[in-house]
Amino acid sequence: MAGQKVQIIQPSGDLRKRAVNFKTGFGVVLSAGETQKLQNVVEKSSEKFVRDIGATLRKLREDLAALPDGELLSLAMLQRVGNDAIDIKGLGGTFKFPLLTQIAKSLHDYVLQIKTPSAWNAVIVGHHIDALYVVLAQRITGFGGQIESELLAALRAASAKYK
Amino acid sequence: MAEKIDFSKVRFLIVDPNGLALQMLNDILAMLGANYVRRATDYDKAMAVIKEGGIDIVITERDLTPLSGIDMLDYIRKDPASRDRLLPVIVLTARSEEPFVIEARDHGANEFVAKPYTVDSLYKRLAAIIAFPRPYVNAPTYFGPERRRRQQPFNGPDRRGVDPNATPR
Repeated sequence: MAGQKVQIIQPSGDLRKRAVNFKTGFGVVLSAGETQKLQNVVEKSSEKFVRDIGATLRKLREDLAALPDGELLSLAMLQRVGNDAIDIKGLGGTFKFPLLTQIAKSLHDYVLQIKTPSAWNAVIVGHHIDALYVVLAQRITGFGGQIESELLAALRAASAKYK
Repeated sequence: MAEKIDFSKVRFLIVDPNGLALQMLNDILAMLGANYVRRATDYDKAMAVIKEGGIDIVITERDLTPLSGIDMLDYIRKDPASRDRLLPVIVLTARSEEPFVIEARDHGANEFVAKPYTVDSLYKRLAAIIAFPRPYVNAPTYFGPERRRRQQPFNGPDRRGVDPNATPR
């Protein structure tokens, strides 16, 4: 590394000059009222979230149900499940459904580690999707209670056992 | 008197393949007062906007097609054709595990927000970029914002040249 210099570049400050002032806008540190205003924006989208994710899960359930007996999940289907799971993982907690986020993470982790598809994949994926659907349909916000916690533990245990 | 941020003066590009996530981010920025928000759902559309210029902050998901948000960062920070190598980028992603945080940091992301996120956590990162911008470092193996957030006193001639396990003098 001798002879190779490290250069420190100061930011231009142009954005700060344009946007930071003492009169209009939101505080650099949000007040409780400002936070609530922003939180209301998220809550307004909550119904759309339930509808959209509900439709995604219904379609996944239909496609799994249509799978002929004994047929393995295709790699394309596993990829689709993984993509939907990561979307649900990313959105659930924002809309006060952290249990959805946890189940979706379990599903995503499961799908990600599949190297060679087996007959168990459809079963484990199906249980995860059913669990996600129930949480959404029952509007179980927060982390749920003991049953939900046991359900999550069971899904994780099944995922670890039936790869 | 406390400082405020006027978001109507900030031009955003937001990138997410998920329509709902993109819409919600757009709505949050609109509530903040941002009235210039370009949206993109994939890498190519985002890159077209970046190449046009006139953006102050990019907020992007890591997982895009056909290339990723990290490839976008690489273009912005390293490509000789990049219009603004100092363009602030927030990686807002459901890939929240530690290796993805390190990856984003090492490719020059200014901030990393894990999904699911709260509006407060996103706002703190936006405020940091706008009101307290960090210097950038141009080193042989890295170009991006200064990765150390705290200044620690050092009593020696060259911190980078010192064995980290050595006893301080």
